[in-house]
Parts: sequence; C-alpha cells; structure tokens
Amino acid sequence: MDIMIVDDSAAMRMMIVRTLRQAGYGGNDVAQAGDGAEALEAIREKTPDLVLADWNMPKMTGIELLQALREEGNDVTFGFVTTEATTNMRDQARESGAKFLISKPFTVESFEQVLEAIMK
Amino acid sequence: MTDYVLPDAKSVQKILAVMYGDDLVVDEDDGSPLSDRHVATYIGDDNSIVAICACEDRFVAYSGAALTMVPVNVANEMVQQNDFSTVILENFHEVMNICSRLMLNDTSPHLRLDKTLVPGESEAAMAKVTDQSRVVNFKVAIPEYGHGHLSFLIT
Repeated sequence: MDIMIVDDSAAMRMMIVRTLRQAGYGGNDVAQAGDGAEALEAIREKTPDLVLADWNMPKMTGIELLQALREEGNDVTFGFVTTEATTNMRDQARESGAKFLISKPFTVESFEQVLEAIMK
Repeated sequence: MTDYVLPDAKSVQKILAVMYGDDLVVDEDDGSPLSDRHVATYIGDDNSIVAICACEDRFVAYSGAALTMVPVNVANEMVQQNDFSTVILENFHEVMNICSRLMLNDTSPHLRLDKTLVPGESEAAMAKVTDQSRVVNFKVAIPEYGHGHLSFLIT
C-alpha cells in the first residue's frame, strides 16, 4: 500500500512515519510532501492508496488539496492529521470527501482506531 | 475579554506528554523574566494577536531536540552558544502549533499559531499583550533532556 504524508513540518512527517510503524503499518511505502501543491503534483504522477495531510500549509492547504483532487476526479482515500479541528473544519472536511480527521498531538492508538478499517 | 482558555499544569502535561512521554513533568510557578524569550504568537480570526507563549532558550532547545531525538549535548551547546539550528526552530514551531489547542475549548473563539519569533524579533509582539493579559507560568521537565520555562499570555 502506498501512503503519502503531507505536512510542512519535517518533524511532524517523521512522527507520523514513526507512529504508522508503531501502529503496525510499517511495511507500507511512504512518500512525503511539504505542502499541498507539492503533493498535488506528486499525486498526479502516481496516486497513492491513502493521503494523510495537515490542514494549514503554505502554498496550498490540506483542504484545498482535497478539493483540487476531487475536482480532478481523483477519489483517493484522504484524511487530515491536524492541530485545528473545529466543528466547522470537520464538517468542511467531511463535505469535501475526507474519511477522517486525527487531532495533533496524536497517539498510536488514535492512528490504530482510525486506520484499522481503512487499511484492510 | 475573550474566552480563550488559560492553560493549567495538568492540560500542559497531558498534551506535551503525548510527544515526550508520560514522565514529562509540568509545574506551575511564579515565572522568570519574559525578556529575551522565544515567542509564539497566536492570532484570532481578525488576524490580531490574541495570545503569546514566551519560552526560555532551554525549553526551545529541549522541546525541539527531543521531538526528533537530537542528542541532549547538541541541545545544550545551542543554549550555551545561543545559536539554534533550523531543525530545532522548526520543531519548536510545531510544538507551539500543537500548544494552540491548550487555549481552546468547545466554546472559545478560534485562534491559530501565526509565527514563532526569536529573541530580538519578539519585543514588538510582547508589547502588544503584556499590559492586558492573563498570565500563567510553567516549568517543564522533558525526560532525558532537562527543564525550561514557558509562559502563556492571553488577552
């Protein structure tokens, strides 16, 4: 399974990779992007099975990335890993086609809980 | 007066322990001078500064280093030389981003991290909030690294 992590913090991308490994998903291929625009280009080249994206990023935010993908007809499984998680943001994420939203700081258990169904 | 949450030691411990482990210790204290601190500015929906987190060098170094397992002696060198690497400052920025949640609850207005500023850049931001803020100070001990102080100032 191919997973793309999109976050402008290199530390956070590293933590997500580590958490995926600790949650038992270490055997997957993981690509990384530093913002939504970089991710969009990469996904156009090769669509992963799952995108884990931050919300606030320079150049293109996570929600803008999701909306751009859907406008292009790309229905890749998409979830947010973000600090901000207001009710409005959760609604906007859901309406735009996100499958889940994990709040930072996250735990191994929070990843296991959300990804269990998706990674089957 | 807004309804942003003034964090307490328990909430700070809970959120930082997710990143640094359950042995992390947070104690509220009387604080130390706020001059020469690294500062995170938080803004509301009108883009005005509504809160600040002012951090001692040691907290910046230890929280940034521990996040990606930079050795403690490297962190101590940065403190001694007052010369922080880009990685440490980026990691600190992410820690401050996560700390934005400490000032929010289900009914509070929205805020988000705007910038992290190094000493010398932070005085103007500090001046905007210091006279009209609620303040709380903490001493945070990060396991295997050390302790540093941080203060939240909320308008």
